[in-house]
Amino acid sequence: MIALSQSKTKRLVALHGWSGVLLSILLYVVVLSGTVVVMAHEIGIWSAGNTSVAHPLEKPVDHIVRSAAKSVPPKYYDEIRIRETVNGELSIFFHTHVKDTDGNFADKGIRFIVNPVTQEVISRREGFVREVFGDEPKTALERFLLNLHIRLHIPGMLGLLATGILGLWMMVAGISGLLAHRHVIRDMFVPERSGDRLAAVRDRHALAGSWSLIFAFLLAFTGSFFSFAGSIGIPVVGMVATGGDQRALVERIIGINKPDDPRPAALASLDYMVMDSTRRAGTAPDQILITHYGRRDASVRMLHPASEGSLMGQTLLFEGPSRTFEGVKPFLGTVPSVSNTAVGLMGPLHFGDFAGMLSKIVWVALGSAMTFVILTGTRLWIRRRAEEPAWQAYRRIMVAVMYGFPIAMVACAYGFFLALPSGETHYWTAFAFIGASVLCLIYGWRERDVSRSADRLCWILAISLIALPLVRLLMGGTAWSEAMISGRTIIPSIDILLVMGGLMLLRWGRVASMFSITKPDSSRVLGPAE
Amino acid sequence: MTDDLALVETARRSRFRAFQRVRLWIVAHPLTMRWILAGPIALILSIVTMAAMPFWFPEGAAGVDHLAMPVVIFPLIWTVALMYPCIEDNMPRATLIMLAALFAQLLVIIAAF
Repeated sequence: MIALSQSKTKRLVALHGWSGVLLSILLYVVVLSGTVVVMAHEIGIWSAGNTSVAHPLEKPVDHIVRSAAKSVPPKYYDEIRIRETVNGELSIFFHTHVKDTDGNFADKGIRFIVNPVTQEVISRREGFVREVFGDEPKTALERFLLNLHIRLHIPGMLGLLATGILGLWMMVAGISGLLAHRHVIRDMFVPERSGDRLAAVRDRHALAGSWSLIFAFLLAFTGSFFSFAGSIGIPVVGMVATGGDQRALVERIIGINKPDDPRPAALASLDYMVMDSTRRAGTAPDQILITHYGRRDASVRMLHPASEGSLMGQTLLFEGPSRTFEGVKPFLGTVPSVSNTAVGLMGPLHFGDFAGMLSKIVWVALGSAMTFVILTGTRLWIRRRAEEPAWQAYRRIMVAVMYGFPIAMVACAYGFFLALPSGETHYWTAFAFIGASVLCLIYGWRERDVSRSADRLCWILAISLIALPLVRLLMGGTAWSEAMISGRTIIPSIDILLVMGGLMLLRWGRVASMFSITKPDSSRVLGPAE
Repeated sequence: MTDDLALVETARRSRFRAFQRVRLWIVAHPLTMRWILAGPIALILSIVTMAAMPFWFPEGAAGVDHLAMPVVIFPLIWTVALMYPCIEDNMPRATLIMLAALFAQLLVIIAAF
């Protein structure tokens, strides 16, 4: 039990309520999209129809990299990043770091996409990183959803700042809710009161909120870190520590401190280093970084995902020309440190990918609970002000957003699949999302009967979820038989989940009347959580 | 000599009166002060603290903790700076603590250059 004076509790309740309700729509968008993009990688495989199970870095890559390097100007030998594409192909990006048109440092170079089996070069493009990575048609859906969560599609640093501030407000709402509650532990085990009374609404909010409190705090903190690190943190620390040179700061933090030696030297066998690294780490690398290719000071970093029983992945460092293993390279610095552990934990804790599919499912479930907390909290707030016209209007908008946003996310998948034959997936994915959002908002605003609009929007969402796998298959998506034979069970699994989700919405969907007010409430004044 | 002492005493009292006037204004406008402290002052304090940390935070074994940890804990600093004036009953004390923290961090930065 947390004992606070009445005035403090009152202020905290006001802070909790206003911080939640003022940003409830944006918080709902970021949290729900975050819940979906926990499965971003799987959505990428599902939408692209990738049936290749073997990681391309498990196959020989040395010859492919050397052949590609012959056609690349040496100015792009600064760094080579090798990884898998969403289609299971090999992406090799030879690049250097230059200032772009806005004066910011960016990677520029040549990117090859190679079939790892036939070693045939599928594409070769030169330009800045956003140009050579940005427009693969099959990545459109995954990238759109990721960008929605990461920066709400607001360009530049503003998007990161916006999501960072939302994360911060989520922390404030969580902490103020925790402090304002008199009995946090007890609230975790109290069953909700029946009916549609205000007390029952508050019970649901307190129950879901208590269970997801720590998780909400963790996600909000790690999310804020990811948003603020690039937009505020590194520029500010760079200003005082390296005179504004952010690149120098990053190199100092990461620990790239090998003395320059530009004398020419051939790189040793990459295949040998991959094999050696796999043996030491217990998993195959999912990314290779080569710095100073063709020079005596070349080094090779093998980035491995977390092996079984460990929370974080690891990076193994090799000397390029001699293929000598130099040790495990911490993410930050050259020896283990507190900041290395702290930063290393941020990713697994935010993305929930530390224990494969199991942890991702837990993250999706807890993300859904947080979405429920936002909706019930907003409902609680609106219920207490049901007679005020401004809050009635807000209620209509909230219903439109509550169903309209998931409808828009499903709509962008329709846009993606329907545009696949034309290759214009990026445009149509965004167009479908915006179109569906606008239509839902207009309908939600014009329909005065909140119950009716909730019913209809819920029905639209359910039907669009059920029909999506059919549209995917009709537009030439990977068939279930093909996916099962190749071992990509995630493709039929997502199809089944979509259909099940749609059916569940049809059966129980009007969670729903959520924002409908059946009668004026008389059971007020029950506790600080209101 | 007596005149000098009287002048000093008058100046001291006038400074004290100015301080008292500020204090009374803060006491009379707690909501406004909370908005100011939890809004712009909290943001400025958290950014300035992050900027000062490389000069006082331990470097750690790898020599990078003082550069990386400010970025890591920046959201926490901002959250604490935002919530503290909302919880504190005594607004003059909250103002004093937050401004003192701000000037202390600013002094660290100024001293480092």
